[in-house]
Amino acid sequence: MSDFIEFPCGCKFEKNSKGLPVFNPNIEALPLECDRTWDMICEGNTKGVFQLESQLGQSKAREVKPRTVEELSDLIAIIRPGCGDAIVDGKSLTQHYIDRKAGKDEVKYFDPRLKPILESTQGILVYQEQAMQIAQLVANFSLGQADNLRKAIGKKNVELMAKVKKEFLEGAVSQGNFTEKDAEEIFSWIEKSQKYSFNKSHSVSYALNGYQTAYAKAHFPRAFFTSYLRHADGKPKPFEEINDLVNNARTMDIDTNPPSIANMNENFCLVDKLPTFGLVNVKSVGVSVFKQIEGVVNENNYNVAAMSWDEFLMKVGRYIKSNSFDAMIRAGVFDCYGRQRNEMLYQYNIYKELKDSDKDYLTKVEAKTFLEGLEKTIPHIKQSKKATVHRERHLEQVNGSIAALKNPPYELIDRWSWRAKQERDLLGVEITCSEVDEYDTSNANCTCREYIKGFDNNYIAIAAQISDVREWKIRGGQHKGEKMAFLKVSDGTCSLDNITVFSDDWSKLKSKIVVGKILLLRGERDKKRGSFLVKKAQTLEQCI
Amino acid sequence: MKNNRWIICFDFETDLPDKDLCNPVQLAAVPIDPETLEVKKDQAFNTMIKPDGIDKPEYFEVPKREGTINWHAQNYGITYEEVIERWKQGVSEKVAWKNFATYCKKFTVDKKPGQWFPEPIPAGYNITGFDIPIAERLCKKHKVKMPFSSVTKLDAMDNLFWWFENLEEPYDFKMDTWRKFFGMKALGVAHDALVDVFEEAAIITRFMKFHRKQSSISKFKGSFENVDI
Repeated sequence: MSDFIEFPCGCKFEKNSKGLPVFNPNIEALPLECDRTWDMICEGNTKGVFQLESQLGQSKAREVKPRTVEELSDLIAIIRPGCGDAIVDGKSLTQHYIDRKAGKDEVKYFDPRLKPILESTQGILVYQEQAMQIAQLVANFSLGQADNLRKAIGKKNVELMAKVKKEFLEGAVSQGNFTEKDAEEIFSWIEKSQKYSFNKSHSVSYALNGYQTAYAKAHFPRAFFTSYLRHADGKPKPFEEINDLVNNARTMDIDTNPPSIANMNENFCLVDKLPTFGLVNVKSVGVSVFKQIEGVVNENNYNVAAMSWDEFLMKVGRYIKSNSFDAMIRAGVFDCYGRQRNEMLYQYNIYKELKDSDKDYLTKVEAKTFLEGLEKTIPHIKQSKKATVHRERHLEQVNGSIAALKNPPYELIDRWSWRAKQERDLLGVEITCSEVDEYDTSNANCTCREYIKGFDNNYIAIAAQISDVREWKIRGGQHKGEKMAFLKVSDGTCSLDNITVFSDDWSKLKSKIVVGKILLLRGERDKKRGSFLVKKAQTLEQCI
Repeated sequence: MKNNRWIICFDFETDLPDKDLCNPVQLAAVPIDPETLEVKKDQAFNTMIKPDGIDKPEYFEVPKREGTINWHAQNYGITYEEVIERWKQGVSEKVAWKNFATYCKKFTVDKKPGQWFPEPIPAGYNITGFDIPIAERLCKKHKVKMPFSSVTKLDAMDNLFWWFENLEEPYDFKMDTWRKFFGMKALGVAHDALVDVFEEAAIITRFMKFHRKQSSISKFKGSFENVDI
């Protein structure tokens, strides 16, 4: 990253030894009561925040609304799989924690003496350290014995657990504070907690790391997204990661620039304070291709930003691998030259069929357009010393190319849907347009970005493309066994993934809501969870 | 099963009637939206192609060549020499075919889960017997991947046979006969590839709409349950 960014608190983004941007927090001065950071976490805007990146992390952050590192630590501990799967009184411990914290359920303790230990976690045994403290209180365990209990829980060691249980019950009875029955009950929680309880010291350090990344995101969002985009290729699904990050940045009013030959940047970097794709972030364009272009440009002192498309094609096209050049045109790398991508693609297809000698000649010839350059090769070929037959064939080929340039067989314009698809395929995300742009969206009253920013109305209509449909079989309640769906849509402003279609509506809309379709989704905001509840779906008229 | 693949109605005009020996002299195509079955005339493809060897005298010595050129001259209402001059103005076969492959790529859709073939579906009149073998030959010759689906094909000739094989009218299966039979208004010169694809696309979409209407009201599922096969 070219920019070195520092915040008054001393936190900064800087380059590491490999030149990659890393956040360097000033641990001593980092304020832990930053409202902007906590507000962002409470909104569930935690993409890229350590331990809270997942959909689950984002949605639970919205529900738990942590305001301290300790609460953040609780959140990290309760979204671990064991806690979600531990069902007590018909709901998970995660949900118990959330409901108690929100004041919906009362916080109850088995015995008031346990309150000081469990109070911070809403009466729920979340941490292994809490089990140790309980053992000390109930059975008067020494620190060594308590540590044995922690080991038994942590390692899920059955033999050790049985031994510790015996000591626990004996200790409780000899202590006389708890009856044997109560001690057994308390130990049974500890045993059950084996499946989910987490090491608090571990969880708090996760929370601190999470807070630091959230702080970086809240205060240096542009550098944060640039850095995360750079590291996206290390993720199992880099394109999905890029899509999520770019859309998340959009919700924070940060647009991402498409790759451009005018910038000549290899990887993601900040250009005009915006995260910007590099050339190697285009699928099929590798570092070697970038180096090749850079080498030719530097060697010949070309100012690519000041060149025209035709000049670039003739001067540099010769040195770029054809599939990489093709991909760069489609991805919009040459949009700065003000030509339609289809037109450039068409010209490039003609160019790449030329003989190497013609391409060499074009790098030297003085011509403003590719057509002019080709016409100038004709006298050059005529003067060549080749056998007549070869010369004639060569001339025929160049004349054919000139004819093709003059009379394109189809309209060389870019349709939004085509452009969007190319960007999706080659960059992982639609950057300059969306397929939705081709449709009449006059009946919509809200965009995805506006919805995320809190748009509310009795009636909401969003025109968007369906990008994901997850069908879900309802496990309980009056609709048990029926199917409902969760959707993800996008419309060019950003993507929206908390969309729900309940079973009654899903049975009617299932055939209409298909991945890839552009629809007008009508419905309302779920006041409780904030998700968009779809009631109707309508196909849209293509208007371009 | 719901089709999401574009349909590309295409047609070659050639310098011989034999699919194995001919050179294409014109290639035209028009895409059909798979959902609405709208013929997207504004996105049509049309190119004249310079036949290989037309500058050499041997080209004209091939049997049936002269007759074919005369046939084209008659259709266009121009002279024999003017036909040759027009063909000579065309682009090389290689450039034309590669341009067509690029054009078809524009209509390749995103694969749905479980979908194997996202390429457009070729359509036209007698494409199975004439145009597709030529397309395959050009792909091989110019080392280009077949731009169409290799599985699904929509040949209007087959479809019309299913509907009319037991009727007296029309009396043959020539495209000219169908034009008259359906009462189609002339869009331009018949046997100009672009005019032909527009007409063929009109027939194909009309029948597809008819099929869609029928299939929505007919009961196919389980219709063989009580039938001895």
